[in-house]
Amino acid sequence: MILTNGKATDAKIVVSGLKKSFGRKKVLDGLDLTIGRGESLVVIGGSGSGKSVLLKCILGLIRPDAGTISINGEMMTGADRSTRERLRRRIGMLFQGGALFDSLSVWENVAFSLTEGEGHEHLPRDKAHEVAIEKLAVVGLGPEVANLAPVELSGGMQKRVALARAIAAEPETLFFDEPTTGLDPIMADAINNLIVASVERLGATAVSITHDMASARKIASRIAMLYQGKIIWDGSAEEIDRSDNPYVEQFIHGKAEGPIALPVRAL
Amino acid sequence: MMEFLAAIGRRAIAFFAIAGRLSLFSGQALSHCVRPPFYFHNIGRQFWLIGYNSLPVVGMTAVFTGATLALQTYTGFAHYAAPTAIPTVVVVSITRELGPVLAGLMVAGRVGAAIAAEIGTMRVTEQIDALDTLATNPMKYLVVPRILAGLLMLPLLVFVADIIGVLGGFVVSSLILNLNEAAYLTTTINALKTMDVVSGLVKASVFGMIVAMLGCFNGYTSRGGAQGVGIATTNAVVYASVLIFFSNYFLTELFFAL
Repeated sequence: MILTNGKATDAKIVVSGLKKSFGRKKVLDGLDLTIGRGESLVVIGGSGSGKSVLLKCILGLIRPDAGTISINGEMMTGADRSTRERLRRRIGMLFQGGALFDSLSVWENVAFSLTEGEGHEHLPRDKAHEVAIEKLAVVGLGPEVANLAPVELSGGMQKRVALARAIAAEPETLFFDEPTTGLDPIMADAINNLIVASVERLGATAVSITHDMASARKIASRIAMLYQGKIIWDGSAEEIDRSDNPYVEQFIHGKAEGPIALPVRAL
Repeated sequence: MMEFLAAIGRRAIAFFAIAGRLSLFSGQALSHCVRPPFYFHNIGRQFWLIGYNSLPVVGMTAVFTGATLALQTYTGFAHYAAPTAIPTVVVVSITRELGPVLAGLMVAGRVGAAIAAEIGTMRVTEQIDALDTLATNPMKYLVVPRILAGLLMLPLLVFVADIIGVLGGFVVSSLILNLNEAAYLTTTINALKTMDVVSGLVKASVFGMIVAMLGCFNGYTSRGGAQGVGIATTNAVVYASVLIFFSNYFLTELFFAL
């Protein structure tokens, strides 16, 4: 159960007072968020609201201007490279575009965390190949795709391979950046099912960001809404449809009219 | 007037900002070159891509440069001492200057652009972020192999280019200018000093590092999709070419002083 920031004994990730600006644009403005162990949190918010920046700050890919982030009680902010790499070995990440390595085959992508990387024993290639085929099967892909190049796959298949790569090292925490963006509704639902199944199978903590409400409802145990650099609403997936927060209401119903002003001019 | 000064100031600040970032990047990259772990399969692959695959273009450049140099020298020295001047000018020019500089420029165009485009694309498609999240240092995985390949492969390429360039001069001198082959070769060997070859190879090493470093730096720091990758690629080639000429002058001065 989540108590207060930093004081929860079972908190997996604690974000406190996080600030990040790009030039004059404040993207994150003192954001606080605590994610419990085993929770599946989905952060929703409009395009450009800072969801990806939040995720990249947690992963240590972007350095915040202020605030702290801890994972498993260890500080990610200000940590040296070896600490960050140690923390990341227990993390899996699915990028929005898949981010598969063009120069490697599908199975080499999936097995990357087992054959490369620093600070851990590497598996022999034949063993890593076996694990990759296993993980590809978990995401519904057969061994016939193993030796293909990522560019030979469709968008949906690339997402599946990227998911297989994210879960290959059996991480404790999974991050999903817009997992269904660019996919047709059926493939998007299939990816959502795979995410739910993977998180359950691993018993992992999951943090996803999306603006796809169907995806959020499917994969979240808890939803938080990000607006103007802060979490303005936080509750269970069931509660969101009953929320009377006008920002949440506008967002989940996809209305152009409401308190969230769009930066467009009338014709 | 103030606007003019402000514009100059902005450009100066931008220049120093890039120079500072490049210095930090270079320091970081070079420090990783001597610290394990090393990705030997990546290093071997880059040796192949940067070294072996550049051989045709560098060889073609060298053979025609040697041949042209022989013809031009003959024109200039026809009334004086062509038989001794041509082999001497060809071998000294090729080994000291033209071999390393032209190979450096050709490799900048072929390899520097490819490095910037590949790493730039990896940056904008989040592949570099993915490396980070997979607990793999992109500096060690992507940059170090390319720097080492540039540093060690360009001298080898230039060594081959020196031989091919001299051969180009020899073929033109013997077949077209009808110079005595044996005399040509004897003069070439007598004119060639160890320092000529060594200075050329040291220059090649420096140029190789410049090409690889600028390719990696521009790719690594590229932003903004396809346009950003295009700008990175152009900058990698232009900056590397300018820096090759710039450093060539100072290296030449250094070798004269030795």
